[in-house]
Amino acid sequence: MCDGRMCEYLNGTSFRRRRDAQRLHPRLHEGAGSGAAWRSTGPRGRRAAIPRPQGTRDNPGPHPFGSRRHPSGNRLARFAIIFLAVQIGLFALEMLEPVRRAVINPWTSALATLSGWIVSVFDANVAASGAVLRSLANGFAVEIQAGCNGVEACITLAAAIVAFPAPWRYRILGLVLGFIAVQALNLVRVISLFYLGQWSMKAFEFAHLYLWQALILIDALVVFLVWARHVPKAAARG
Amino acid sequence: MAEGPVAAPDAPPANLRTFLLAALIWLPTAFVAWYWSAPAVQTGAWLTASALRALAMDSLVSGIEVDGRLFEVVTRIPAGGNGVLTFSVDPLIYSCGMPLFAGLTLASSGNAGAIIVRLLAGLLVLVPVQAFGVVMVILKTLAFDLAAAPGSALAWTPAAREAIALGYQLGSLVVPGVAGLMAWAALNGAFAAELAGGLGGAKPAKQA
Repeated sequence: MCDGRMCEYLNGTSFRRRRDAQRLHPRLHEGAGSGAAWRSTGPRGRRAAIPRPQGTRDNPGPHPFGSRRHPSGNRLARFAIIFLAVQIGLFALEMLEPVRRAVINPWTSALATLSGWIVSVFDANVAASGAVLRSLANGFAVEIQAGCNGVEACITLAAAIVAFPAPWRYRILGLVLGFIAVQALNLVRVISLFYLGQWSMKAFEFAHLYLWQALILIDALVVFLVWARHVPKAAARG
Repeated sequence: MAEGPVAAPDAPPANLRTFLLAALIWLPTAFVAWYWSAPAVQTGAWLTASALRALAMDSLVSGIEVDGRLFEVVTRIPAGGNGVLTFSVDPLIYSCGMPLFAGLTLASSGNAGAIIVRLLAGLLVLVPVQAFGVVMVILKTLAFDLAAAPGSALAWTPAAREAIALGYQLGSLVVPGVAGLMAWAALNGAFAAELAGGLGGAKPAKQA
């Protein structure tokens, strides 16, 4: 695997410096191209190939926003641009009133109903009405609003999947499975907050405002990474 | 001595599972540290938001004061007698990307020095993100919640109200968390790409 720093050094320096570099490290070119680094292992100076992990100081790997010399750098820049464009576009779409009326609000209500149904399996004192989940025992209720319906996390995941170089067949599969994974955890969020609020409002506020926002995004990140690792390399290049 | 591959001294987590396990340890730690150091961490956002207030909202807001974990926004809208309307903003909501970023960065590969540099750089990048969220919620409160208050005579055009609404939603629902993820991906680019299977799995072109 190419060592980014070494390539830049070799390509961007004069012939003399390049020749000097080769003299100092006779196998430098081979090492830079194959991902191997060289290290003396004994008094006789024998050298052994040492696989170097990327992302370390010694071998930082291709720079994410590197020059045209590094195709992976271009791919990362392209990924970031498409990701941001799709993210903002889908979010603006979500904010449109007709979309909210036709899709977001019914989905949010369905989420409350589903949460109520799941909770009622082990707790009979729960009722769901619209986007509200209410305890019949103590009157505590939570209302699922924008930001709590998992749609924003799904949008983030969708933007990442669309931006990733993969065939559409894999993208659609990722979108469907990712939506299910994010919404499944979001159900856990709603139900956990419902019971957390009955126990302690302080804990509810902390989990609601700060913790679950991050956990849902981590869920989306994990889904994306697992999906990306399953995209065939050849298909992604094509 | 047997010859063979030697592990690099600062080898990164070998795979996604190792990274996730490390994140599972570091994220709660980062959240606790972020929550308890909030008054110090949000100083940058307070300074930035105060500067933006002085530049663009001085006719509406006379000051932003720190009240523990909260920001107290003092408007110029009269509230009867000699008083003015004030309202509180919770700046922590707009910085939840910070512990996310810190936890993921600490779970990523690299030596201690590199990680500290990345942490500082990322937290610095996330300060304006938090300030953006704070400013947008102030604008949203002025344009929507306090628009009908007597003395709040500023005419907000429909386009301005739409822009504020969109900015507020972006600044509170999407930007804080996503900015944390993006800061992590940008500052740990090679590692993140490796976790994703090489960003499409394509191997870097072999050098001649």
